[in-house]
Amino acid sequence: MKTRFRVRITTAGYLYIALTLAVALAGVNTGNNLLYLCASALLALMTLSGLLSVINLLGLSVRIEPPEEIFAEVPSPFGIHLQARGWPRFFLRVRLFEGESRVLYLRDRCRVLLWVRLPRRGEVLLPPLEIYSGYPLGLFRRSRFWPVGIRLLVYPRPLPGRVPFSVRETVPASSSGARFRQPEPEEFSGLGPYREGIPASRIAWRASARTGALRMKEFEGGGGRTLILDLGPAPSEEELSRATHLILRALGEGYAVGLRLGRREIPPGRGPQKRRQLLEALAHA
Amino acid sequence: MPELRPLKVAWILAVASVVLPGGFLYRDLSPVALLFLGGVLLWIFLRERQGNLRPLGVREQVLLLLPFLLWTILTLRLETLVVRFADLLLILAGVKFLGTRTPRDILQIYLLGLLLLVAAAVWRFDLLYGAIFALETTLLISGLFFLFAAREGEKIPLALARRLALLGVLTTLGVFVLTGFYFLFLPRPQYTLFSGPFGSTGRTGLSDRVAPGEIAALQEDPSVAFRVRWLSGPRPARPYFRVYVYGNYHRGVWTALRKGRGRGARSLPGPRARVEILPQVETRALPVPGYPLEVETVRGPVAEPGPEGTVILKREVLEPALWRLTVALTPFLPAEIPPEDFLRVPRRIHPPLKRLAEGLRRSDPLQTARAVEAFLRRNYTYTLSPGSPSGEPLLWFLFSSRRGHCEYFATAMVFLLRTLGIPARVVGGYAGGQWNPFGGYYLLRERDAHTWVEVWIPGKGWMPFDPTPAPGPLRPSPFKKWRLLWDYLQFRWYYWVVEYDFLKQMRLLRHLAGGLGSRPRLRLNPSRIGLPILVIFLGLGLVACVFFLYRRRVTPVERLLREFSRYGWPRRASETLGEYLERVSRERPDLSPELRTFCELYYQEAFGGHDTRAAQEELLSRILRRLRSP
Repeated sequence: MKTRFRVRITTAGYLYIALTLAVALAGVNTGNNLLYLCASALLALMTLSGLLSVINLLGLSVRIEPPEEIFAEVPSPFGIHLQARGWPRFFLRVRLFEGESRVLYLRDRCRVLLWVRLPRRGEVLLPPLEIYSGYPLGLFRRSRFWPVGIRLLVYPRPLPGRVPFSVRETVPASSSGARFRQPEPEEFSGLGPYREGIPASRIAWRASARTGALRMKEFEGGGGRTLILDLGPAPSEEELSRATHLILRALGEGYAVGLRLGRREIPPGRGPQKRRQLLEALAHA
Repeated sequence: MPELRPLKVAWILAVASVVLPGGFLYRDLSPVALLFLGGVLLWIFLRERQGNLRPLGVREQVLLLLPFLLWTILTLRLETLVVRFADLLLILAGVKFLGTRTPRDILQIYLLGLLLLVAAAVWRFDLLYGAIFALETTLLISGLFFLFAAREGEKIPLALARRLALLGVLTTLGVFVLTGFYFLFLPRPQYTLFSGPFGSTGRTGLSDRVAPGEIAALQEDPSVAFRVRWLSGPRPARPYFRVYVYGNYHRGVWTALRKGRGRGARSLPGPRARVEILPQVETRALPVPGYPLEVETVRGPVAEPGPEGTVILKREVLEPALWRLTVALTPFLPAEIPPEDFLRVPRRIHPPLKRLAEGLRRSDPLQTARAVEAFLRRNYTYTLSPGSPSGEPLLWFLFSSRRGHCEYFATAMVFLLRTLGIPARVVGGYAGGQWNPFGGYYLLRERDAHTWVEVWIPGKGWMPFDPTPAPGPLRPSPFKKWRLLWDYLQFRWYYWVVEYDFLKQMRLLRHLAGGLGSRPRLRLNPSRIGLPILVIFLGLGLVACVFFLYRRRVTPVERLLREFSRYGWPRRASETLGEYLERVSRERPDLSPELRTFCELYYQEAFGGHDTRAAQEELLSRILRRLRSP
């Protein structure tokens, strides 16, 4: 992975450069060697500061672990795995979009979590990951960029509220008929990562504690209540957002959810596969 | 995990970075500024102990600063511009100490400390400046490290703080090396745009005026006046460095010859020597160990041959300077002014001297001079405090007190010889000095200032005589060697730092280019390379010590995980150590008891606070031995 560096001078850095130039000029003008000595020391510190800032960013390897689902304008947790070879690194800051996290000291490897908020739905090519630091003295801020090259599909932003499109709900005869009441899911299909809109009762706490990340129980099955959303051939962004919220909520409450988007029709169903299918359809709409 | 506030460390270092140069300049700075700073620090200390220190706001700080600013403006003069500026910096730092302690405030205090160091460079050139420079650099760099850490987090782990402190020191060492490189090799102009009045440290005890009767007591001043580096040529056992030739005596005062240029005699007999002269005092003439043949001004006011083999300067030397002279070490100096001009004797002392002088007359001028010299040495006593003379100082010395310093002896010999018609004159300069074997130079102190006599020997020239009896032997100091070493370091500081210039830079570059271009000649002198090698080894030893002290030790658990991973049992992310070792035990049941014990020992250390590190190490060695054995 080819990386590139960038350096930015801070306000303190500009002040430092001005002082170095002033002392050097005084030394040249007066021929006072002690002023030369001071200017040399300032210059030496500037050089070493630059060198240390480069060394601090060398020998790093980065791996990005995107979340399973990303919704537009909703902060999503990106796991960044950092590995430092050789010497320790100090005061690193990791940035992706506006998501930023810091690492005070990196000796071997670590994982940091960046909460990234992607602005729009659809396919997004992740920008380069930036690791920057003002180390050692804060006179310069040196950045290193890692081209990520990951394409992500961003789902529409879930927006609660009244839905401006037609929703068809079918309730089996055995049910009491109350909207969005929690039915008993049919079949436990396994554990999966936590997703937006899932009720807390579905979280597998023991597995989450063991792995260090939220895990939830997955269920599949086609029985129970059904909800079919009809968004028409050209839904607006707001309609897509409200549909997303409704789908998440309905799936969370055990409904089998289907979608009609113009000519495309997705039959009702439950489970992670169906959820992905529905959200992808909304993201591409 | 123990933690530390980096801002607090940065603030303490900031205080030290102001106090250090302030203390260094305490003799030059105004007592007002020093008292203010001292008072502020004391106040902060007491308030912090009581726990009720309230930082001043910006408006309060400005109000506090205002009277000092007015005082600075009112007392500002061109010649004290830098000193007043340094005073103001110190007061400003004191005001900042009373304010808030944000990273920005502390950065400003570091800037003030740095400016104080720069200001000190304008009027302090001694080696102590070098020491202060090194200390201040260490403080500033370490402080900036902690200041940056403070910007990143209010508290940092103690282990990280230790690493930062070590990094600060190592960076400082790197800065010193790189500073030396830049200092030596950064291009510098041959001429400066202007040269400020960088005051020297003192005024020489020698002057162009000698009045024996005016000085009741001389003081032994050990301060350095000149360093004369012997570049080539034979070195006299006790050289006399001529500075002034005193020709005129009027009302008890000798005045030096100032007019006339040396004729630059080049055909003098005797060996040649090449010397470098570095002044430490304000002076208008240079000490010359013989007769000057060539005078080269390397740095400082232009020096030129003066009358009667002296070297005079076009203006008084104030800044660091360096001259190179080629001299003839001849026993007889040529005459430039007719010797008959050195025969005048004041009327009022001629008759009393006549009888005494006649008794010392010998067959020729040389024998007569030797007789007079021997007479004075035998019959008169050398003292630094002869007292105040009554009447004519010379007659009082010769016939009444019979005690005096060199000026009395030289004056007496000159007039005794002149009374007999032999041209003679008083010469002022430095006698002997102290040879410094470390640097290969003579150290001329104020107390080495001396006057002696030159007598005209027909057909040969001016011959030196010293009628002053030797004072009692000096007590050898137990610290003599250390003093010489310190002076050598001072000399090196002056030579390579304060006096470093374009020509030296060119010479160094040429030397390096020559060394690279030609085949190196191996000429190792053990005595010369011994010290650098020792320093290099000590430095390497220090670095090794620091490395071994602060290297990160791999814990037994880390080692076990690493080794087991190599054997194909990597630990899963979700596994605890106990689960992991249990899994390994299932695959290697023979290791099971040891692994269980190891896990237990680790838990005791990690969660029980017991030191089981040694037992873990030992057990791990056993496990690994068994693992490796087929």
